[in-house]
Amino acid sequence: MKITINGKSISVEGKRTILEVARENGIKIPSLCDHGKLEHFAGCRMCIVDITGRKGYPPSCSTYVEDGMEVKTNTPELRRMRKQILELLLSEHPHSCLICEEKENCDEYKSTIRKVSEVTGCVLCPNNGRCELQKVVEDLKIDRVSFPSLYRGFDILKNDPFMDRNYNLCILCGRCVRMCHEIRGASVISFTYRGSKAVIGTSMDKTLLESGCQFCGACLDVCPTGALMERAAKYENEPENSERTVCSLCSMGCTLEVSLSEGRIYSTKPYEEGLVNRGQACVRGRFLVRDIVHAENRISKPMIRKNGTLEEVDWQEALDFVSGNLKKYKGDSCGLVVPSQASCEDHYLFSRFGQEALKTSNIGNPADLNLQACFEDYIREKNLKFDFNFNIKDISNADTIFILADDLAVTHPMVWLEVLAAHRKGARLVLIGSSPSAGERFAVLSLKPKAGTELPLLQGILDVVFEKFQKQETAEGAQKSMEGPGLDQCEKITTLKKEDCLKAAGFFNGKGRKIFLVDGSIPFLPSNREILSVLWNLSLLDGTQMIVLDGFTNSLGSLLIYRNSGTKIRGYAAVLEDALEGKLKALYLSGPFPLIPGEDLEFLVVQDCYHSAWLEKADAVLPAVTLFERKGVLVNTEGRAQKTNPSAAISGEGKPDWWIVSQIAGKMGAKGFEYKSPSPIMEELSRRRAVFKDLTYKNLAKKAAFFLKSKTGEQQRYDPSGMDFSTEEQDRDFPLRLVFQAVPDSCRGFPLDRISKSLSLIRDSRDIRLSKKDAGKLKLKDGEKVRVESPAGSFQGSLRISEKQPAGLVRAYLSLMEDFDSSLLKTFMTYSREKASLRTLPIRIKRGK
Amino acid sequence: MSEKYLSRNFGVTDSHKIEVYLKGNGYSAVRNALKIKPENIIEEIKKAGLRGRGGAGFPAGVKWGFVPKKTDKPKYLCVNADEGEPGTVKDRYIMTHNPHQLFEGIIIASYAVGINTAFIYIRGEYENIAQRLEEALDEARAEGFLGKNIQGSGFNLDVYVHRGAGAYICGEETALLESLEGKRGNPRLKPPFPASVGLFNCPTVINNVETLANVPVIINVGADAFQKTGQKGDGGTRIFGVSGMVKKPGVYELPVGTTLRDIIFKHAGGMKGSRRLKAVIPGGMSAPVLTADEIDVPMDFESLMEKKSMLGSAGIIVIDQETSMVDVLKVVTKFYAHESCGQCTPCRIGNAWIYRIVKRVAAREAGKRDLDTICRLANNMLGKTLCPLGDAAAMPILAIMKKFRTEIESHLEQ
Ligand SMILES: Cc1cc2nc3c(=O)[nH]c(=O)nc-3n(C[C@H](O)[C@H](O)[C@H](O)COP(=O)(O)O)c2cc1C
Ligand code: SF4
Ligand code: SF4
Ligand code: SF4
Ligand code: SF4
Ligand code: FES
Repeated sequence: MKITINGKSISVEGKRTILEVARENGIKIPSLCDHGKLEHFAGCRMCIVDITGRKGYPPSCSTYVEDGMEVKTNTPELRRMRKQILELLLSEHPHSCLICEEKENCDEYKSTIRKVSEVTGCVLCPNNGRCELQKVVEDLKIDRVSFPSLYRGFDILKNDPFMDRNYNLCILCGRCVRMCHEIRGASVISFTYRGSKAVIGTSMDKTLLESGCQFCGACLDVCPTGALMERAAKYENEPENSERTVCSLCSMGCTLEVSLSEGRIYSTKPYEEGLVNRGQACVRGRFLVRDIVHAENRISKPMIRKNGTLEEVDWQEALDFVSGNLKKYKGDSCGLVVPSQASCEDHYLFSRFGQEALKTSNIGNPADLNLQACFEDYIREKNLKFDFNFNIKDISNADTIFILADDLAVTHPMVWLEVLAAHRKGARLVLIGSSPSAGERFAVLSLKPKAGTELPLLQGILDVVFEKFQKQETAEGAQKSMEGPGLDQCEKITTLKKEDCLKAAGFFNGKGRKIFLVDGSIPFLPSNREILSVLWNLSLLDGTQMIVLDGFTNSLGSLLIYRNSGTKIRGYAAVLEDALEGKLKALYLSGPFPLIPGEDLEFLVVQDCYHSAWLEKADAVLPAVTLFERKGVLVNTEGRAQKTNPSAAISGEGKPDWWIVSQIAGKMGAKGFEYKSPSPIMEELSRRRAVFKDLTYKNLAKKAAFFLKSKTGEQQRYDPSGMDFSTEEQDRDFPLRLVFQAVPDSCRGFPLDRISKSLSLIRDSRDIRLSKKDAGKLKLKDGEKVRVESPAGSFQGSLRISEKQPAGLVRAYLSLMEDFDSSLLKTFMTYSREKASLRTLPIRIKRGK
Repeated sequence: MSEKYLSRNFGVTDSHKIEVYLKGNGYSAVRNALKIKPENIIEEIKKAGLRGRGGAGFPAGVKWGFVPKKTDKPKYLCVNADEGEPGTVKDRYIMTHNPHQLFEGIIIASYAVGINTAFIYIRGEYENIAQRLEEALDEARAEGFLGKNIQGSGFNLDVYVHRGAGAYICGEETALLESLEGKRGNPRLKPPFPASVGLFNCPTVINNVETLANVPVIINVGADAFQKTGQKGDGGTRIFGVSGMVKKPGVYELPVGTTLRDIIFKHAGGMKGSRRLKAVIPGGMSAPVLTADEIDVPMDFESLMEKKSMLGSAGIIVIDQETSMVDVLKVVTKFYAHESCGQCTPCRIGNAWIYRIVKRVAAREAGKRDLDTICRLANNMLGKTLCPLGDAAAMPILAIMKKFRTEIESHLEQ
C-alpha cells in the first residue's frame, strides 16, 4: 500500500504504525511512552499527527497505516500542541535545568556533586545525559514552561535491593509497568491512584521485595527518565566505554553490555540484539557482575603454604611448587575437580591435564550431577536418537508447553520469558511437579502430586497416552505399556484427582506444537533416570519435543568434552566418595566441593576466584579469573556456542584456568601444552571431538549463530523397559525428605549472596527451606536455628519457611555443607552415585543447634 | 398522552418482584422473542432506531451486528450500570423499580447475538440495588427465564452482578472491561473494538441499562411504533433526570425529541419560586452547557449536536441566575481532575492544572490571562486523548468559558 507523510509518498508492507514507517523514512516524530518491545500505550501524546479526514490528532505510535493515508507530522499546529503537552509534563518534573539558558556551559560551572537524594534539576540527576526526556526537550526546543514548577514530593523509595525509585521524576509513560507485566510476567508494579495523584507503585505500597519482584532490572532499563536507578551505579562517574560479552552466570548465555569506568565495571545491561536474551537479563547478569568481579574476597595472588601459613609468592614459584608436588602422586590417588563455570578451552585442558599429567580417572565435573548428564547416559546406553540442540525461540511458538521444573524464572530465566511469550500468544501451560511454581497463575492445569510422586503420575499419564495411541494406529513394535500403576493407583499415590491426570493426558494427545521442559530442580523419586525414560517414551508417542535443560554455565559443553574423551572418567560423585573414604592423597580443587575434613589428604591445590573455607586446608592457592575477565567459548543450554570477551581489567594477578593448568601440565612433563591464547586450544578441540567440529574462533566470528551438532544414536523405539519403579517406604522416625540443590546464583560454586547483601535479601543460600504446613506441625518459626538429622548424620542451619515448598520436602543448597557430618554426606553421595542422580534422604528437623 | 415504556410501574408496590411483573404481562417479550430468528431480532432493533442511552448514542442494532457470528470463543454481554455521569439517575430507577424489564432486554439481546453469559457492572455505591438485582435474578432463574434451556427454547444464559469500586472512568466501556477482568480500570486503545476483542479478549456487547430495558418494548410494540414515538433514527422515549432549581426535580419519561423547554417548564413545573433560568446542562455533566435562550431545542441526539452540545445520558441540570458559573466551573473541573484515569498527559496533568487555576479564579486570585490558559489547556485535550473522557472534560469547560466569559471576568473584577 501507499501512504504519504508530509507530502512524501511511501510504500508500506504489512501492519505497521505511522511512527515506525516515519522513523524508517528518516522522519522524526517525538515520542516518550512508546517502546518497540511493548504493547502500545498511547499515553504521553507526544507523537500526535494529523491524518486527513480523521477527527482529532491520533497518536502515531499506535495508529496503523492504511492505504492512501495522508499524514502530516510537523505542522506548526502540531508543533505547538506537542510543546504544550511537553510543558505539562515538565510542570510536574524538576525542569529548571532543562530550560536553563546556560545549560550548554553547565559542566564548567557545576558546583556540586551528584550525591543528593532529592533531584531538583538535571545536574543533580543520576540519569543526566542519558535521559530521553532531555532529548525530547531539546528536539522540541522548549525554553520556557508556562506553569510554575510543581514538585510532587513523593518519598524516595530506597528500601529495596539494587534499585531506588524516585517517582518525582516519573512521567507516567507506563513502560516499566508494561515491561514487568508483559515481558517479565511479574506484574509487580502498576499504576496506582488516579487523576493527578496517579503514580507508579506496588500493591498496597509494599516494597518491591515484598511484592515478588525478580530484580531483573527490566523496568529500569526502559525508564526514559531518572525515576528508576541502579543504586550501585547511581553516584559513579559516567562510564567511559563499554564492551559486549556473554554472561557466564547460568546456562542461558545472555549477551551483556558491560560499561567501564576507570578500569572498573560501572554496570551491566542486557544487549538489545542479544541472540538469546534480546534486551533481557536476570538479577545475576544485571546487578551482580560488578560485585563478582570486584569482590573483596577475590584471591589476588598465588600462595603456597610455608611453615604452616599461606604466603604470597610469584607465579613461577607457585607453579614449580604445585607441579613438583603433584608429580609424587600416581593415578587415581589424585583427584581433580573442575569448575562449574569455565570455558570449553578450560574444560578441554582440564581433561587433558587430568589424563595426561595427573594420569587419573578421578576427574569430577560438577555437571555430572545434572539431569542432562543422566539423560546423556540414558540415551547413550540405549542408543537412542536424540538431539540436545534446540532454539530458544521455538519455545515461544509452541501451542502447549509442559513444565516439570521448580522455578524456571530463577534457574532458566530466558527460557521462562519465551514460555511467557508463548503464553501471550495463546499457548497452554501445563505445570507438573510438587512445588507450586511461580508460573502457576499462567497455567491451564497445574498438577501438584504429593512430593516425590512425580514418577507414578507421569507413568499414569503415559499409560493413558499409550492406550489412545494403540487404538489410533495399532503401533507395530510398540510393546505393551509398562507396568504402570494404573490411574486408580495413581490417584492414591499422588493424591491427585483422576480427572486431572486424564486432562493432562488429553493435552499430550492434543494437536499443535508441544514442548516438554524439564530441568533438574525437582527431586525425583526413585531417580532421574526413570523420569527421563518415561518422558522420552511419552515424547516418542505423541511427538512432543522434549527439552532437557542444562544445569549451569557451559555444563552441556563440559559434559560433551569429558564424556567424549575416549578414556574412562569416574565422575564427580566418585571423586567425592573417594575423598570421603580417604582414598585420595592429592586433590586439585578448581570447582565447588563440599568442605570435608580431608584428614588423609597430603596435598591440596585450590585454583579459584574467591576465598573460601577450603583455603585453610590448601597447600597451594592459585588465583583464577572469572569469565568476565577473559576470552572463552561457552555452550549454552540450547547447544549454542558463544564467545566471552574480557570486559574488565583482570583484578590482581589472576590467570585464566587454561593458562594455569597448561603451565602445570608442561612443568610436569606432559607434552603439547604450549598455548599462548585460547584460540588454538579451541582449534584443537574442534579437531579432536566430533561434536565440536568447526567450532573455532574464526568460525564463531563469521557466523551469526553457531550450534553444536550433538549427534546421538539411532534408535527411536518405544521402550520403557528396564526401570526401577519401586517406591520407598516412609521412615516413621524420619518422616521428611531432604534434597540438596545446586545454588542458583553462584560464581564457580561460590554463593553470590555472600558477595552481595542485596541478593541475600532475595535468596539466601544458607537457608533450609521447609513448607508452611510442616513448620506449623513442628511449631518452628521462620529464621530459627535448626538441626537436620538423618539416619546417617546431621547438620544445622537456619530455617526459611516458604509457601512454595511442598509439604514433606525439605530443601537445602549444596554449599550449605560448611558445618556437616561427613558420614551424612557419604551416604548421600553413595546413594546419588548408585542412582546416577541426586537423591533425597529421609530426615527429621529439630529446633536448636 | 405519551408512552410510558420504562416507567409505567415506577411507584407500583413491589413492582420489582417477579409476580407483580408477570401480572402486567411481563416476560411476554422474552417468550415471543425466543421464537423469532436471532438475525430478525437484530433487524427489528435496527429498524426501531434504538440509540444507546449510555452517552454516545450508538445505534444498538448496528452494534450487535458487529459481533462476529462464527467464532470459537464465547461471547459476552456487559450491562453498563455504572451510572457515573453527574446529573444522571435514570438507570437507578429502572433497576430499582423495573429490574425484570432489564433482564428481558438482557435475555433478548443475548439470544439475538448468541451470548450465554452476561455481566451487570453496577456502580459500587448502588449496593442496595445490586442486592435487589441479585434477588430478582434468583426469581427469574426460579421461573425458568435464566439458566439452562430458557422456556424450553434450548437457549442458555447466566447473568452475574459485578460491583464497581467507585471510579467514574469505569463507566467508559473499555475501562469497564478491564475492571471486570479484575484489573485497574484504565481505558483500552481502540481499535480493536469490543465487538471483536472485548471481555477476556472475546467478542463483547456493551450496552447501557436503559438501552437494554427498551429492547422488550420494541418486541412488544413493534419497531414502527417505537420509532414513531421518537424521532427518525432515534426512536422511543428517554428517561430525563431533571435536577437543579426546578419545582419538581425528578425523572420523566418522555418521547425523544420533546423540547428542553417543555421538560423544564411543563413537566418539571418550571423554576422554583422566583428563580430565573440561566443555563442548562442537557445531557449529564459532560454535555456543553446551553444558555436560557437555547432551550427550545428538541431533546434528541441530532438536534443537540447542532447546538454543539449533546443528549448524552439525558441528565438535565438546571442552573438559575443566582448560581455563579464560577461555582459550576469549579464543580465540573474538580470532577474531571479527580476522575481522570491518569494515562494521558493532556487529561491527567491538564485537568489538574485547570482545576488549580479555577480554584484561584474562584478565590479572585487570578487574571484574565488565566482564563485564556484554562481554554488553552482544554483545547489541548480535545481530540488528543485516549478515551472520550478528555473530550468530555474539555467540551463543557470550553462551553462555560465561551458562553459565560463576561460573568467570570466580572467575578474576577469584584
Ligand atoms: C468517561 C466515560 C464514562 C462513561 N460512563 C458511563 C456510564 O456510567 N454508564 C453508561 O451506560 N455509559 C457510560 N459511558 C459510555 C460507555 O462508554 C458506552 O458508550 C456505553 O456503555 C454503551 O452503551 P449504549 O450504546 O447502550 O449507550 C461512559 C463513557 C465515558 C467516556
Ligand atoms: S525488576 Fe523486574 S520484576 Fe521487578 S519490578 Fe522491575 S521489571 Fe518487574
Ligand atoms: S518510572 Fe520511568 S518507566 Fe515507569 S512510568 Fe515512570 S518514567 Fe515511565
Ligand atoms: S545469569 Fe543467566 S539469565 Fe541471568 S543474565 Fe546471566 S546468562 Fe542471562
Ligand atoms: S483521556 Fe483521561 S481518562 Fe481517558 S485514558 Fe486518557 S487520562 Fe485516562
Ligand atoms: S509515544 Fe505515542 S503517545 Fe506516547
